[in-house]
Amino acid sequence: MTNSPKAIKNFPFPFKSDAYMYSVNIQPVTNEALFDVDEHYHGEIEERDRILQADKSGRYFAFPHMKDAQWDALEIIMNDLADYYPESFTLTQEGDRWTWLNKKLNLEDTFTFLDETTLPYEPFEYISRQVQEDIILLDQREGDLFLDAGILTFPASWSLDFDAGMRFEEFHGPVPRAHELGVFKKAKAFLMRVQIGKPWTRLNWTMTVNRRLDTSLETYADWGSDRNTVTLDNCGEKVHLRVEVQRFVRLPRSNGLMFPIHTYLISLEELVTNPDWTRRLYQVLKNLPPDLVEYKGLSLYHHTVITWLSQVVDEPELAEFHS
Amino acid sequence: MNEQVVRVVEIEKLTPRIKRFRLVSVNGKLASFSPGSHLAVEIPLAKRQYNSYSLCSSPYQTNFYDLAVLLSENSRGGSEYLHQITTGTELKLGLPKNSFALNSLARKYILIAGGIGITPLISMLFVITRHQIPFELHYAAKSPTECAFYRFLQQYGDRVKFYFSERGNRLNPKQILQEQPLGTHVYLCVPQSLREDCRGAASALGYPKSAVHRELFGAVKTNKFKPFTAVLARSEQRIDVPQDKTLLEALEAAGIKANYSCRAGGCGACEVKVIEGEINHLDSYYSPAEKAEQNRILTCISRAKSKQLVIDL
Repeated sequence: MTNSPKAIKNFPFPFKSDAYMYSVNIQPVTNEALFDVDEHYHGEIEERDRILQADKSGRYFAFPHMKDAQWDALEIIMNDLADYYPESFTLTQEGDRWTWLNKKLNLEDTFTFLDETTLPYEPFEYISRQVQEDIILLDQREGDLFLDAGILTFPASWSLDFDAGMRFEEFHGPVPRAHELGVFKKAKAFLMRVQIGKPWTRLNWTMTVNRRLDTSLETYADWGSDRNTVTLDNCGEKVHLRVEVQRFVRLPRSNGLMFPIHTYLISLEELVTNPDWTRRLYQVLKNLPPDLVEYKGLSLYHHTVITWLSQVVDEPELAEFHS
Repeated sequence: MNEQVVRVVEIEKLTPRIKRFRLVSVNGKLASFSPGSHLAVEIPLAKRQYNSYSLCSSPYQTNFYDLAVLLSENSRGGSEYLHQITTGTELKLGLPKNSFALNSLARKYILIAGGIGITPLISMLFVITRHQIPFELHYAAKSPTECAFYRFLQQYGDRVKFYFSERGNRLNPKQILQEQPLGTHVYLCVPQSLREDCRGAASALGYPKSAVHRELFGAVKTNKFKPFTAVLARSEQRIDVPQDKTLLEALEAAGIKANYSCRAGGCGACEVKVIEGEINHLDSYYSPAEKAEQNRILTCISRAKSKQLVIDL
């Protein structure tokens, strides 16, 4: 699977300056879909189904007190898809009788809103199997946010199973520097005030070797050693910039928060078709502090990527292009 | 604040001084809400104002909202206005907000209401009973005729207890709160003196602080801010910030390149150093200690207490 020129053009390139540092970097979402349906839809839905069939434990869970949050998520996702992709998705509501049509998956279901016995899966699993995003549902109580439901088939090196039920600062435990900077306290205070109908978004990034979405800790044995295989010759093809578009959405009836994560992968070969991105990424990687290099799992090939990028950046026709 | 436009379709006098208004959407769908939520209602008087009311319909009901409004004795005019409108009147509403949310893991809920304080608890009952979690409602009012939702509450049988002051019935917080199971959460929407009695009793009985909840109405923005002058230290430019504009907006209007992100005082992107002047911090970003340092400001929301602020721009 590679990206079309259109997907490359739309890639959410994350760097706004040459030196990367943490910030809450959060922006409002206005007149824009919360969920992205792109050219990888079918491939990623199949991949998700394959992962869930192989072993659902650790990839999907919802605690019993998250029932209202599940319906909230289903309602928001169905409305979002039907509003922004009407050619593919239709939601018909006649009182509590809802009919959901997903033309992409050739699927039509009529069910009773708030009655989970009328759906083939519980509501959150039913709808999250039809989107490309990993989704976390947070319960808000006791002045804190708890990771109390989620579907996670495409994680950037973490485990849903391990984090289930944790508090906000606990599940962000491994992130270096940010705790000392007070980032999570501030982020949490902000998230707890996210209002109904006023969603927010931010980007996060790392790098991945090979075009692989499932870099979960559960499957580490399958992909961890790929990071030893990067050479100057295969770097452009193998190494991918991995960007997460994260959204923060208030769940109105349960007062929980929904946190969808859409992961986009772009190979360096694809990325360097944009000279601005090439220069920027080169600078960011050169300036990245060692603890962040380690945390993002780049140690084994960070240097190779910088060398490879320096060769591309220094090409005279690119320099000319920017003069 | 034209977030939702609704029409009044039904008005019911619940007591001599409390009316219930049923509202349906004029411009689409009503925003869903969680139990315990309130919202702002625009009162279109000469001096426009916003009053906050708790929603008292079921959160699972998507077609209408119910609000119950007490005709207030020291009214700024808002409840008087609502008490004289008729069905068919259109109103503008904000989106629901919740500062009195149900804890989803409670083993049991004890709801305590005084008078009009019953309203947020009504929306909670719909959710608590759907999830079949044990509850008790203790409701103090003057008399049955002054007791809103008196008939509605009969369906819950002996889980609801009424205390009518006219008959000399008093609510005893200690008696109510003692011998309850671990994991009980208490919700108070009562006058201040009773609230303090309940909190004192809960604390003495060993309830964790986080298990005792009280309604805190979100401040509806009054926009009663003072104008001030921002002095840019580097260029010595003086920028007037009128009362209805933020510092960030004033900087932008003056063509100054200013950073920002959330524009709601939450993310810190618009931070600027303050060299001189007293800051009125209105953000949710800085800790109390950071606010006390008085050397940084979020331009998107915070203002000056002093007449001018010298900032490092």
